[in-house]
Amino acid sequence: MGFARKGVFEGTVSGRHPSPYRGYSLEFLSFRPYCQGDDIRYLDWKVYGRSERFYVRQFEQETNMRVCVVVDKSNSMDYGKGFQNKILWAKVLASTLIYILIKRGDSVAFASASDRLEIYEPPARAISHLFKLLKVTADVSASGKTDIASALEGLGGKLNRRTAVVLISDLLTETDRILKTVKNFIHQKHNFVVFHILHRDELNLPPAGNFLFVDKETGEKIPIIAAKSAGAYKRDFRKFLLGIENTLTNSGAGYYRFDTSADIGLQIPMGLHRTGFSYL
Amino acid sequence: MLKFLNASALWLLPLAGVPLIVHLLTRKKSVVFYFPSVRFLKKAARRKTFNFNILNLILLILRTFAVLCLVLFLARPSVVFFAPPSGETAIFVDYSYSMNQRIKDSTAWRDAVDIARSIVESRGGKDCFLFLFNRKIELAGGGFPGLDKLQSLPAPVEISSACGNMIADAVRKAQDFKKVFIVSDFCWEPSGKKDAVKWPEVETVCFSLGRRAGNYMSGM
Repeated sequence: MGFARKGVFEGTVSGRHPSPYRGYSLEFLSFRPYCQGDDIRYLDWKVYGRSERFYVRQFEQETNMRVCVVVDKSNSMDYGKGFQNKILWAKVLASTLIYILIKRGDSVAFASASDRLEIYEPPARAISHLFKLLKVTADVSASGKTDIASALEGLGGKLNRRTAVVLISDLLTETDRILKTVKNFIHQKHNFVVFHILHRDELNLPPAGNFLFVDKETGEKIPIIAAKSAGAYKRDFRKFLLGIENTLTNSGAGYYRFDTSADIGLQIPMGLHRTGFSYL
Repeated sequence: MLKFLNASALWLLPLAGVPLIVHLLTRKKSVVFYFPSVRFLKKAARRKTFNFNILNLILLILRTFAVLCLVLFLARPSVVFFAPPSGETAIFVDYSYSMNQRIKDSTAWRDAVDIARSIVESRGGKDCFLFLFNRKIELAGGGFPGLDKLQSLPAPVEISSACGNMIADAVRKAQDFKKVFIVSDFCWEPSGKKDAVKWPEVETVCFSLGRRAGNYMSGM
C-alpha cells in the first residue's frame, strides 16, 4: 500500500510523484522541436512523416516526495488514558506515516517540537533510516510548553527543497501565529498538512462534577462545574476549531481532525484521503 | 429596652456558628483535573462559579439566621418600653371594684390613694412609679404626675383577676425595682396572694385595706 500527496515535488530519485522538471518516463507530456544535443531516441518519426520537422517527445519526470513529520510534544499532548492518550496517538500516526512513506521510496524527515524545535532528523529514504525514525518517534515523550509557531520557524530554515510538512498537534497555542507560519510555508511552495489531535473531553468536557481544572502547561487553575459550563465551553471551542479549519483549508493547507476515542485504523486512511493524499 | 426573661439561653448563641462549621466541613471539594488547556474555560468559569457561590452564601446565612432565631426564642426576649433606673420604687395600687367598699367615712380606694400620696411625698416624688391593677396592670405615671392621674381617676368598676401573677411578672420584667408597695384590699384568689410576694431580692410592703384582707403583712 502506498500513497502520494497531490502536488509537485523536487525529488532526488525517480519515484511516483510529479516533478517540476521534464524527463523520460512512461508519462507523455508534450512535443518539443528538436534541438542540437537532444537524444535522437526520443524523436517522434510519425510526426516527422507528417510534418517533415523533427520533434522530440517530452515525458513527465516522476520523482520521490520529501516529507517532514513534525510531532508536537508539549505537555498538553499528554492527555487521555491508555490508547486515547494524545501523544501516543500522535506517535502512532507519525510512525505509520514514516513507515508507509519510506517503504514507498520517499524521503522522510522527523521533528519534534514544543516551544522550539527539539529533535530534527534530516530526510532520507533508506530502510536503516526508517528504523532510526521509528525509534526516535517511539522515544518522544511529552514535556514543555507549546509554541509550535517558533518551532516551525526553526524548521523552515532547514528545508531547502519543496517538502510536504505534516504537523501533528493539538494546536493549543497562539492560533494566529501558527496560521501565519503555515501561510509562509505555503508561500515558499511547501505542502502543509495539519493533523489536529483532540481528546473527547476537549470536545465535550468531562462528565458532570465540581472540578478544579489545572492547565497542564501553565498550571493555571480554574474552578468549574462541568455540567453548567459545558454549553459555553463547547460553543467557544467549536468556534476555535472552525476558525482553524477554515483558515488552513482556505490557505491551501490540508487539515484533518482526529478524535482519539475513535478507531485509529479507520481514522488514518480517512485523514490521509481528506488531506489530499491519494492511495495508489 | 430589650431584656431576656431566660438570659441563660443566650449561652447557646455560639451555636449560630455551627452552620458555618458544617458548611466548611461538608463543602464539596473540587476534583483536581489536569486539562490540556483552560483557555476556553475561563469565560464560562467566571459566570457559573459566581452564581454558585452566591447560592451557597444565601443558604449559609439562612441557616445561621434560623439557629439565631431558635436561641432568641429560648431566651424569651421582652421589650420593656418603660425602663426605670436602678433603685426604683414601685407602688401597685388596687383599682378593682372591691376597692369601693366603705371604710368609716371614706372608701378603700380613697384610702389607697392617700397611702400612695404619702409614699410618694415621703420620697420627694423621685424614684417612684405608680401602677394600677385590676384585670391588667397599667402605669399611671412616675412621681407626682402619676399621683395626680391617680387622684383624677373615677371610682373603680372593673373586677380584679390574677393580680398576684401580674404583679409578679411586672416586677420580674422590670428587674430594677428595689422596693415594691402593694396597696390593696387583697380580695384576690388565694394563689395570687402567694405569687405576689415571691421575689426575695425585692423588698415588698403590703398595705391591706377593708374587711376582707385583714392584716396581710402579719401573715408573711
